Amino acid sequence: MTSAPTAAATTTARPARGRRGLDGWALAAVPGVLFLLGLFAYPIVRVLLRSVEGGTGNYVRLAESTGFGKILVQTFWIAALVTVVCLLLAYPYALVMSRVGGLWQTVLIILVLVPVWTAFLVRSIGMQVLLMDTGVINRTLMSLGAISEPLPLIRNTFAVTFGMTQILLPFMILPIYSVMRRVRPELVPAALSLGAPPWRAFLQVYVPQTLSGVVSGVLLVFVLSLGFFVVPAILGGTGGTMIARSIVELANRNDLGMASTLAVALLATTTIVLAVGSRFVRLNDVIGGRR
Amino acid sequence: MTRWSKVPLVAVAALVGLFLALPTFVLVPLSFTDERTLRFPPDSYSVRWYRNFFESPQWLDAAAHSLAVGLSTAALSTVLGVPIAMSLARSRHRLLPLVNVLVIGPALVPPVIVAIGMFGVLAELDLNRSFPGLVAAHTVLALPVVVIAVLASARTLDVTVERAAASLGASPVRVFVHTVLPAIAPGVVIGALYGFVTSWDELVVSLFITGPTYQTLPVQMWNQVRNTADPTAVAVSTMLITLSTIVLVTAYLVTRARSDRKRRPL
Amino acid sequence: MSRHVRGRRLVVATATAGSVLLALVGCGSEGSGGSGGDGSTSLTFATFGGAYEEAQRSAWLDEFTEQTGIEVKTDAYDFAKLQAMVEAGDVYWDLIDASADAGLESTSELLEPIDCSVVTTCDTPAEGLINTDWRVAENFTAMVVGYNKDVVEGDPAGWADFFDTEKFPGKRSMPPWVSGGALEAALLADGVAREDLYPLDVDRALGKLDTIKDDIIWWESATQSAELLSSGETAFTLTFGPRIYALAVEDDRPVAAMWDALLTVGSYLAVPKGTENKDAAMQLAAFITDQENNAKMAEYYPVGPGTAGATADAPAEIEDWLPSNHLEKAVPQDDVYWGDNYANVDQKFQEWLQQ
Repeated sequence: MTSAPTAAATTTARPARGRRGLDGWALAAVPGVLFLLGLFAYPIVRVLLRSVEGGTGNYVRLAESTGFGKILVQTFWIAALVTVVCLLLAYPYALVMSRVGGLWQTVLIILVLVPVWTAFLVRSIGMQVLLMDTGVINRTLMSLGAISEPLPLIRNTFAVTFGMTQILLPFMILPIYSVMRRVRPELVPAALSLGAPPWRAFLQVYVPQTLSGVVSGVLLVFVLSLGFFVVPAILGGTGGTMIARSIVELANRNDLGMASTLAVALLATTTIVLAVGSRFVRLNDVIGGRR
Repeated sequence: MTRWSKVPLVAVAALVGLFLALPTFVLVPLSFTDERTLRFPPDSYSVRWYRNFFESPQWLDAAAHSLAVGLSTAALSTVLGVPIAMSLARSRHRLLPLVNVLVIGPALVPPVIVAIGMFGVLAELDLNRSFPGLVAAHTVLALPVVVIAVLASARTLDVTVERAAASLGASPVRVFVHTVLPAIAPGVVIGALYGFVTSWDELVVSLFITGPTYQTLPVQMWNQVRNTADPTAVAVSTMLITLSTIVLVTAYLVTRARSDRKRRPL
Repeated sequence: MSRHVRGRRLVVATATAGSVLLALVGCGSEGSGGSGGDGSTSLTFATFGGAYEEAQRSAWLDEFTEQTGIEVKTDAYDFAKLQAMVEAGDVYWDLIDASADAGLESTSELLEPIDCSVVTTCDTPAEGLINTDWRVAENFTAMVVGYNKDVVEGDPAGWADFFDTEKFPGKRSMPPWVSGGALEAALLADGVAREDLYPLDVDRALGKLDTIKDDIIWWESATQSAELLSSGETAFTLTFGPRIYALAVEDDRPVAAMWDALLTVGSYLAVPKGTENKDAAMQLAAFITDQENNAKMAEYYPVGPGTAGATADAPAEIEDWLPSNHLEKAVPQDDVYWGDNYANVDQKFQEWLQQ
């Protein structure tokens, strides 16, 4: 293999030809990568190094504390739960959105964008107003006589999932929708005509064509979930404490070292989870399928 | 639609649509509250929070700044992000797994850590409390989202078309503009939208990068909400929802009118 | 031909990229305060926004500008940002309104020593407040239990009732950070005398909190604490007094403060290390803490003076809500204790929360 810069330079100098020429794409990433190296990697590594300033004491503290470990596990559990729920809701929605035409499609797009325009500080207020013991839902049901005690809608896992799903759903729907638009649905009837039962035709012919959208959506929602903390704390009570909140709290309590330590732990765990996860669902087949 | 069962599917989609709109049903009436706390239902209604927005130079400035920074972030993160996504989908270079980590990084590192690091590097460049500094910071945060969104489309592309175009002597730029770009357009549009939204809703890093002379909407909201519950934020959201709905419906009506005109001669 | 076209495209692309870069770099930074070209100075005061900040402006900042010609801008205070600023050498805050955990020995590297030849109140903080070499008392706020009169029947009085869910059923809400008052509240409710409160008996406090753990809602923001109390979602809420004041007086909600359950929390002025306007910042700190001026904030907002002997001429509706008028059973928070013990106690607290 030729070294990257040479290969890349060659491809831009003359028209790309054959497989090799396509490596010109490597060059295309260079501006963005330099941007991220300078404005993200360099400053962030500098901050993360604070975690080992004065030895490994912070990591010992992390290992010895049961609180931080529990919060970290809880963070990943909530992120995974929200991702699964988002996928289950988003897939059929995107499917309908990609198949209906005209006004209905516009309506469905508007509904996806509605939560997007509302600042997250405001959305969390809206959801609290809905779900509280004295909130809209419980009060309505009680005045109708349907229930006598408020339903446990808030300060539990249900509320966290409800709130985060509400906010993150657009991030799952749109990538799946963008891929479904380009899928050739006529293949499904073809499979049907060959005698496959409908659900099998759907699962084996249609779904695989949309996988790249699903992978993008899952990755987006999972990664964004990990960084949430205001909404889960308001809706989930102590069961909604996320690691990002502990990190903010520490940084504002003159303990940047420990904050960085938790950030490193979050990064490391996420990398492991994504690596294992990509093995498990054979993500590489989807990403690198054309190699 | 094809032959698989339609009714349950449409029912699920309708419920999901309702779920997406649910908080809006409370927030729109709340924006007309006459109280300072967001209590539902309010005892009395008024437009005082809308008036507050339009009569306050701080709120108007913040909205203008957010719009400018958001659009610039959408543009810059798309210009940088689309090529990265194409590389990740296409190139076989051995450093790409590292690029993967680098690109997702800004979404994984907690914002307060990004904020501290970013403040340091922008201080070296003398860009704190400036428009370009804010755009640069927001672009870093938007890139993961933009790249992943574009990747969804980029991965479905058929390489053979490009190869054919290239073998006919088209330059890489031509190949990109005429065959690749149209094919990934939905992903790019969604990516740009995400870029805008990331910037529009960003608080933690913005709190560090902005100063008293240049604030964005979330920063302005934060300054108000920290000490007084301020329904102006809810009024702003309501106006945005209305605005985006008007834009999308108009776009739909325009395309329909255009396709009608095309159809008429037939 | 194609080479020509390609060449032109390249030029256009380079030019576009170049101009974007130029725009990015060229604009440079603006508005970092400091000395103006005409020799006038402007200061940036990092504080807490909203009604609190408006009161500071009405009480002090406008008057200061009038007397000295020095303009004062305000910005949102955040400890992590202070640290980032000082470490990066990009300090544009000249004076900060720091909460009680800043200005102690642990943060001395981030702050300029107070110039006590300019600031005359270094040795005369109001009772319960603690000045150091790096901070001077500005005011103190009530951290008090408010209750919703529609939910709570009868007249609750004191910390014991706050913890008595049999006598007064309903949810309780408290600040989510460990030094927010929950531990102090628990110990006082458990019968610990005010003067024996510190150092806190953390295990005993957590034991007492255990008795009502299922009824506690840890509020996430002060705004939320007010919403919870106003809607009746919580019967009792331990929060900042001015929030309860705003609900009761300005929004006319059925809430009241339980002054027998009162902690007081100090706010201090400090000067970030490396500011270019150190002298003017000291001047502003001196103006704010001056015995004549210091209590003026109470004319607009229910806080107590930070300077001993400063007296307010507050309007009647604020007068009742001034923490300085309810000090009989008040307990000042010991921020030196918290400065020394925050990390350890917080670890225990977090583990307890997660149980």
